[in-house]
Amino acid sequence: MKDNLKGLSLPLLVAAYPILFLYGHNAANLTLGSLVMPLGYSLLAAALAYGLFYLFQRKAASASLSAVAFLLLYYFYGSIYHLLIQPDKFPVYHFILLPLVIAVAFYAGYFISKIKAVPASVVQKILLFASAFLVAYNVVIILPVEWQRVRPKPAADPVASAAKVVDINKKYPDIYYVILDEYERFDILHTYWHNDDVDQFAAFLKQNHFFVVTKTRTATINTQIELASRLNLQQYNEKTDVKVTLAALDNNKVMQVVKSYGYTTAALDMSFPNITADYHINYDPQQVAGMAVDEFRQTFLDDTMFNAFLGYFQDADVSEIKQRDLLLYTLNQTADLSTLKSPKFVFTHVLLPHLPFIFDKNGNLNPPQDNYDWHFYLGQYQYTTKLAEQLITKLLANADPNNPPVIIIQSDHGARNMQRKSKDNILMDGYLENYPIDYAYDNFNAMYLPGIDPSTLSDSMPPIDSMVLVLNHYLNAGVSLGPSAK
Amino acid sequence: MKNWIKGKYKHIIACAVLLVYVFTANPLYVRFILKDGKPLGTQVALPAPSKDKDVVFVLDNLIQPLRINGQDLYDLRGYAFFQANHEQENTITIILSSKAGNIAFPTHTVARPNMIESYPGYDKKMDHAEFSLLLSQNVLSPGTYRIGILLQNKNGPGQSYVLTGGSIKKTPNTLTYTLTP
Repeated sequence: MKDNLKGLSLPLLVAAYPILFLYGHNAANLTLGSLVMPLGYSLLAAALAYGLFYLFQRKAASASLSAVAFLLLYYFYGSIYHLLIQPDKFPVYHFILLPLVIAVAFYAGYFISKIKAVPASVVQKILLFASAFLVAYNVVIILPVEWQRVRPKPAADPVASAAKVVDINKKYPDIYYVILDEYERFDILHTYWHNDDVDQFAAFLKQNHFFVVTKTRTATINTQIELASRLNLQQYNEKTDVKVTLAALDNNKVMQVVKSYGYTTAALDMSFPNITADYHINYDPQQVAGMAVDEFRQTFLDDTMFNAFLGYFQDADVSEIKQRDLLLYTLNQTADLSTLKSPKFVFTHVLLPHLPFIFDKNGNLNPPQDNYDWHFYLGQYQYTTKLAEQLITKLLANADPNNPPVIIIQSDHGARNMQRKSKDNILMDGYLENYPIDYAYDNFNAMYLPGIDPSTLSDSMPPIDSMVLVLNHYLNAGVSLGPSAK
Repeated sequence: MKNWIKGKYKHIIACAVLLVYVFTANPLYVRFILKDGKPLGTQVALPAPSKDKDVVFVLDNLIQPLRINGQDLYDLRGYAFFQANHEQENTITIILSSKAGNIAFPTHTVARPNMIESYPGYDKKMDHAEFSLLLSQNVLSPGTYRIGILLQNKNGPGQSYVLTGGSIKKTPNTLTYTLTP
């Protein structure tokens, strides 16, 4: 038995190396959970290949080398497929190519088995040493990143504000800052979609004393830039390094200011899970991605023999249900954070009505083939409106009448109607006809600001001003916009 | 030579099996495994294309790749009805015509937001005029196909055939849809 397994370590190391290499170079953006599937499947493939070759060859070194040959084809299968399909000279189907590649792997094993025992063993040992070194090297890259992740974070330094006077007797209000991703301004619903359903929501907001900024615009249509800007009172733009905006978002000024006033902070963000706060929903990137692209997993599926089974790994119904559950859970959590000590600052960023368009206007799941068709944006928008109304109703119902909360419901930008094409130049998404991209800059912004006279507010107030207003009015924080945002 | 063949006969058989598999796999797949996106018939006789605009139709401006029950298919949607009788239920068949002949594909009724509703004079009873064509690229040989719609009254006589201006270009590995207004 021991002799049988002697050669197994080489295939296992060879199988692990590409996965660890890819993970190591993206460790800052991934979690260990995303390793499980690619690494597990590859190790399993390596073990099965070794077992099968050993069964036929009965020589550990030779079976080990044969399994390595199989793994090379396993990892290059995606490239072989794309290489053959590109010239478009003959049809390439996975159900033909995969058996052929496996047959080639077996023939490679057959020829390797003809190598004499001593040279086979020498080659196997050299490869074992090299692969062990490469795996160890990547583990060394990964470990510090993982350590940074698990070690307790020091509390962020409070930001000094110009006129900070914390009144210990004052009851500061709870602040809810909710971002509905890709939610259009009301007038676009009328002008482009010819839909008046939203008037009901507008009336609801008015009835509940919300101030809706009717002509608000965003500076960019990039979510990360917009959120980083609004939470740092500093307008970034497309030229800003993404690492800078991500770091700014994760350790943002607004949450530091409210923290310094004794607020409990909560960040419920489906896209940016590392925002420093007292409370998070621990989204697993694999889960949160839901139907959005997990590039690491996708790269693995694209490149390896699993390319042939891509469809089976993307079961649309399961993904839709997972996405729905995460969206509803996030909104329910926002409304039900009673266990958090007040005053609290709750920042929620929910991927609604953002792609994929899983909901119809009543919250039923759309057929999977419609999930990326922009014609279904309206239905998801309408359902998002219902969810926003429910959220506001709950927040106001749970509020202390003597110290009502501040509620800001904003979009990061409007519908961008972005078109995707497949490698065959086929439109992947239903694309909205005659939709001006300028609409994407029209931003939704509704604010519940107890004690502030709405007539003093401008109906073209930019979204970045909202938190300046809130911090200065309710906390007397004396903050102002950074120079580029003015 | 004879000895060489005798010595390598296992490999020769293996290669022969693989070769046979390469050439028969797709027809066998279409025949026994593929359930959707298959034609009703490959040599269909059609009435002459109608020129008097008795059929109102719209084809979507895109063809959507999708996966249903493990099958990679394309979905083309649209609506079609008789001008003179909006509410009449019809069988809608899509005809792909090429030099090699006319291939008929079945459609099924499917609702699509903002499609038939955009038709002036839309009535809820017209919803059955919205259709979806499922198409597998495994069933088409390379070539260019003009897209036609064959509309047949479900409950009586009356049929009409129109060319839509849409076409599908099939290469060994791609399928491109073009809609000319």
